[in-house]
Amino acid sequence: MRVDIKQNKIAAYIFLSLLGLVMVYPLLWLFASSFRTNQEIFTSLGLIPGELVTDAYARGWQGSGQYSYGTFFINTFLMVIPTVLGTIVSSALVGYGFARFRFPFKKLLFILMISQLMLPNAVIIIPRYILFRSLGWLNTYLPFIVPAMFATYSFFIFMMVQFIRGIPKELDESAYIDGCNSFTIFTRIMAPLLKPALFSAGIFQFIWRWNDFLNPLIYINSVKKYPLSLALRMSMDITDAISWNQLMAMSLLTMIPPILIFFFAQRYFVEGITTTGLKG
Amino acid sequence: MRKLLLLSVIVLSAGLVFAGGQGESADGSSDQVNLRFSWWGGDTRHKATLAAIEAYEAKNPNVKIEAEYGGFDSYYQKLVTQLAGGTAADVVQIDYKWVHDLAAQGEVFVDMNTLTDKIDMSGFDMKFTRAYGAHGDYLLGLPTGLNAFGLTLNSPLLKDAGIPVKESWTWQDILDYGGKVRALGEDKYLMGLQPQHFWYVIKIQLKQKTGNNFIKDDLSFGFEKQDLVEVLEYIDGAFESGAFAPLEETVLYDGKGWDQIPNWLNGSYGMISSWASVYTTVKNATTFDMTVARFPIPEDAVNPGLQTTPSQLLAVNSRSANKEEAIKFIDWFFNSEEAINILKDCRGVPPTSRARDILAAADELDTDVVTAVNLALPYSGGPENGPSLNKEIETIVKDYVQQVGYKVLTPEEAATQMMEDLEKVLSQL
Repeated sequence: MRVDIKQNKIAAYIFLSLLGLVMVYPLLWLFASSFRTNQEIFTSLGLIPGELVTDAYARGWQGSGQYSYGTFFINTFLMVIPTVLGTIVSSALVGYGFARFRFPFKKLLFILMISQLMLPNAVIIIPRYILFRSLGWLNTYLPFIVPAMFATYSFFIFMMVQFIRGIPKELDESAYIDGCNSFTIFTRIMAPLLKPALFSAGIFQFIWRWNDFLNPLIYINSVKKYPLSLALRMSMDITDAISWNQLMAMSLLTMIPPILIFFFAQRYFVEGITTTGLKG
Repeated sequence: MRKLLLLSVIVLSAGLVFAGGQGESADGSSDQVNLRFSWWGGDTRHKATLAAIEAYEAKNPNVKIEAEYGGFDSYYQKLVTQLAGGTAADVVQIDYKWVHDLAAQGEVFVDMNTLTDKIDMSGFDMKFTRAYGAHGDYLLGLPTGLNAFGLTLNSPLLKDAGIPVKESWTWQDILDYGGKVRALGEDKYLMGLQPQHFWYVIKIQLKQKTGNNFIKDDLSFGFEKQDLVEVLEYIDGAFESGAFAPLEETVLYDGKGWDQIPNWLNGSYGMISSWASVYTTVKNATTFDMTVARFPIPEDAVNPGLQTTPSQLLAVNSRSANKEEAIKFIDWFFNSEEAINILKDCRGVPPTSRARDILAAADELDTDVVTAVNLALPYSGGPENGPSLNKEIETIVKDYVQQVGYKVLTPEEAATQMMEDLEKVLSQL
């Protein structure tokens, strides 16, 4: 019996390792390709470069023309970090409101908020663009940051609402008896309990904003303000030879921050996903 | 809890500060002119254009040109949004394929016909320029270069197969020689075509049979059903005999450049169809000898039907606040010797005869690319009209070619169904 279990375990480990390898292979290939010549990238699936190219990182970092990837990294952080923090704080507050308070037109407002989830992005591109133009926000990061501060991402609000609904009301009531008001209940009782949900929202939003291509494309004109997603596409054009190894190298660097964030916050992230909507 | 409160305050204010810091400062003196120039391209074009802008700024200290560049993907989407919002750049690079759609939005660009005294257009082939850059009489832009659709040959493979490496081909040649290449190996084919290229095969063959555009200006078909059946039968036959590489193989890379397609790079195809403008890119990626040839023309062609087009067009935004400066810049961009020497062929073979002479004298043009364009120019099938460039029509045609290629439909069935589908689209145009 015991031998059987052991054998099963070994088989399972071998199977899982192989599966894991299959999953990681594209990443390994990306890494290996940053050391290869263009011709080899497109004709071989292996990992070991035939002809070693070592300058892809240094040359890729220079970017094309005026600005280096240093600028693009800073731009991306300037755009993404305030957006993410703004989203977390504002969505939690609004979610708290929807989950715990009664106010006029609450149902209608909630439906309006949820219906935004169904609205295809393409429909609102032009009106939104014209709105931001009238506000004079084009070619700045304001179209990303300001809406995030006013809880315009309904998905996160909904997530917060679900999570807060899982927190027993009795906690609020006892805090109230102990002298808390609505705001201190939020900051002292809710916020610590909401941590997993806040982390999930933060990670999701970070990765989405980091990878976002269309919105920066439309709102940002100057190359000196390009975030990474635009910078990577800058030299991808069919009429010119693309230095794929440089592009692979820069793609790899671009992936590092989201991966790091994911790994460091993974514990909360999983907790946040699995417990959303459960009764506490 | 204090921390959280503090954090939220910091976030809210930091956001505003960061964002506020990014705002544009107001223009300095009244003479200072800020122009914006948007284009798409790869690194070579970016570097050359930036160098040209720098040279122009050095000569005109009161002009500052903001470069807005990127890849081709989504450029059109952004441009349309900007035109709708009135924030497009002053000088805009556009594709000739968009001319009809853009003109439908009103006079978004300055009519170049009104600028003949401000921009020296004597070096341009104005017939060609009007054919591609104009919608009716309204001329949206000037071509930045010449481009032609042709063949790129894998000389060593053709030699191995005992096929002459020649400049002019007929469609019959392709069928006849297919077997010789097949004899060299299981993975060898005479001609590599991606699904997107069959649209060219079809519209060019039809034009060669009928002399008409795919769709005529009055939105009727430019061909009889029998013509279409014959073309589809030709394609079917070429697949059957192995003259065309099978779709199963090429569909994987549809829309990618030949410089990224393994079966071309490892020398399995005897020839590919491609635009002259991408020749250098493909050559840089390829390890064997390449040469250029004319796209096939049958001996009994009514119209040679070849596709020659501008690489792109350069237009002036009609809502620009600095039209005069933008126009001056374009004149310099096309006509000054300095600009010509800096830009070289980064936008294809230069559009003006003077620029071609200057660069040819300095040995700066890739002779193969010039040859490819020169081979095609005398055999141009004339410009296409708006409906023939319609994306929906292209998609339908591509769909049915694939059904023929995969033997789902016979050429006869495909022609019938394709024309039914096309009629539906045409009735909505």
